[in-house]
Amino acid sequence: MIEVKDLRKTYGDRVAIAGISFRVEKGEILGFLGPNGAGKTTTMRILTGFMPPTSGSATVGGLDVTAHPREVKRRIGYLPEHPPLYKEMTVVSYLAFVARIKGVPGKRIRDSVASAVERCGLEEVAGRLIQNLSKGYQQRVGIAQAIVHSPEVMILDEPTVGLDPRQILKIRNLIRSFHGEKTVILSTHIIPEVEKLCDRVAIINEGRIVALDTQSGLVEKMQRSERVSVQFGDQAAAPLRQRLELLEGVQSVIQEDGAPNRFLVEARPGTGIGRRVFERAVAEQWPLVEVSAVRSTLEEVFLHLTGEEKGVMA
Amino acid sequence: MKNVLWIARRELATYFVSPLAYLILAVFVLVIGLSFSLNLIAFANECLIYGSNPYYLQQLNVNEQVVRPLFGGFVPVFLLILFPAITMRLLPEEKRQGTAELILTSPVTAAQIVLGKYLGALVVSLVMLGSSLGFVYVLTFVSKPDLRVVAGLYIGVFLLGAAFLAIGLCLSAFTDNQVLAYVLGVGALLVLWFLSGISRSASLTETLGERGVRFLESLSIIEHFTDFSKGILDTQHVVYYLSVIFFALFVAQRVVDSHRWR
Repeated sequence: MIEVKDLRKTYGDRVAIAGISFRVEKGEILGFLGPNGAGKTTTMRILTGFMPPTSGSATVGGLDVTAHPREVKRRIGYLPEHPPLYKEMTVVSYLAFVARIKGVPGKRIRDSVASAVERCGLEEVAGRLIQNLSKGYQQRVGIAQAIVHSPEVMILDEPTVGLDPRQILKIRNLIRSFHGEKTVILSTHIIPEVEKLCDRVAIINEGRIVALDTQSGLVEKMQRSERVSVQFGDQAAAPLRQRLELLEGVQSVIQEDGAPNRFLVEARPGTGIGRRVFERAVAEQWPLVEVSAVRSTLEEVFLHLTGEEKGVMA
Repeated sequence: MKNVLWIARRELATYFVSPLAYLILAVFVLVIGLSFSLNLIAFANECLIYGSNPYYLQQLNVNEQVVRPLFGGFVPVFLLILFPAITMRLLPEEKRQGTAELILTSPVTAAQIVLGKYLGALVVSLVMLGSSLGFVYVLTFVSKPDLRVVAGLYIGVFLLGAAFLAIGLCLSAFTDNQVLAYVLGVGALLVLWFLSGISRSASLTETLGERGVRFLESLSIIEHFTDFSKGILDTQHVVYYLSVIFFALFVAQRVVDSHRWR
């Protein structure tokens, strides 16, 4: 549905995006994850036809965004970072205006607006001025604006930023309801959002896609070590710690916070550390209670790939 | 074309939910009304005093003494002050509240955006000028103004105002600050206005030459209005105003479009 090839954008000397390529299939939700200023918004603005790329190409539904801007714009619903609201209008008249300039035929305006209002849960505030609505409602009007012309593609730039947890939940449910029906690109710097909503994740840093895969794929690929958590049964655990350190391939053994008998063992990948801890425990009759594998999280992958690991993790 | 109308309609709705349009309208009606009444009272007094003298009676003319001073002299000055206030928010407001991103990612062209906004402002100005028709109507009860002259004046004022709006809109495209847009608008109109006197300046004629001065004077926005105020309808002036409007809107369209390569 969306295909981006080697997209670049520079402002003078400053490079905003430095060669981004990806594909999004129909009905898929792709998450753009990256620190602020990584190039997420720029990529989205190019896709929506707000600005042209310096080089490279982007197609939506097989149409090039720079060669056929009007057709592409009709197919895209776009929620910019700040919802583009005419605050002196009522919700309904605003949505009707958007539907019109997006090219919805006159006869279908009323229905389009009604279904967007319903879908975004705006019935209660439909006749009110946008400026009098809460931020959560304004954000929902922003999303309603992006779906009012029934686009095939939706591009949402940080749709939950600045909302309270309850509002975030509502917006997420709304976005999840697009799954399978619309092709969605969603940007965020909130990791749980990606975990909850997206089929695949593109991690963007300094204008490049540094990783693009499903969540579990990313975590697996990025696994730089095998980790197990080992719990011993009695207080005499300290000498056992040394035994763990002597196992082949072990890089570090850390006592976990608040649990004197629990250790996090980190070993080189492919050493099968969990099984070997268990075998040694049997052979030497350690008072072993539990051995469990510890998976990396998307957060670790993200921090590693965006080069912030040292500052945050250590 | 439909897009232009929708944009214009939205623009109009915005004018009339904000106090700005009403304020401009109220100030216009108040000041024009005041000036009109004073002129009319003065004229009525002269009629009373000199009306019995057949020689003076010939000199008394409601067009010359009431209509023309008002629409030919006072109203243009007023438009210069008020019209940039109508156009100052047109484009800066879009940028400020982020709706530019909506409009520019919609399947509408820069030309449609500019024309829609211009049309919206034009309708506001028509409402404003239309409100002054009431005074002309009152005048027809108490005297016999030459309606052809009045119509000529209205056409002139309308064209002048339309040019003011186009220039204001054009300059508002260059900034996202409304105050700056207003000051730029008034400033540009003042410069264009004062070009009218320069052929009388001997020193300027010396440096720029006779033809240079004439040329500059022909660009003056008020110079072309003079004939309308005499009741003369000359196509050259109509063409002048239409070209100013076209040029200003063209530049505005280019500027709006240029966001793409910035």
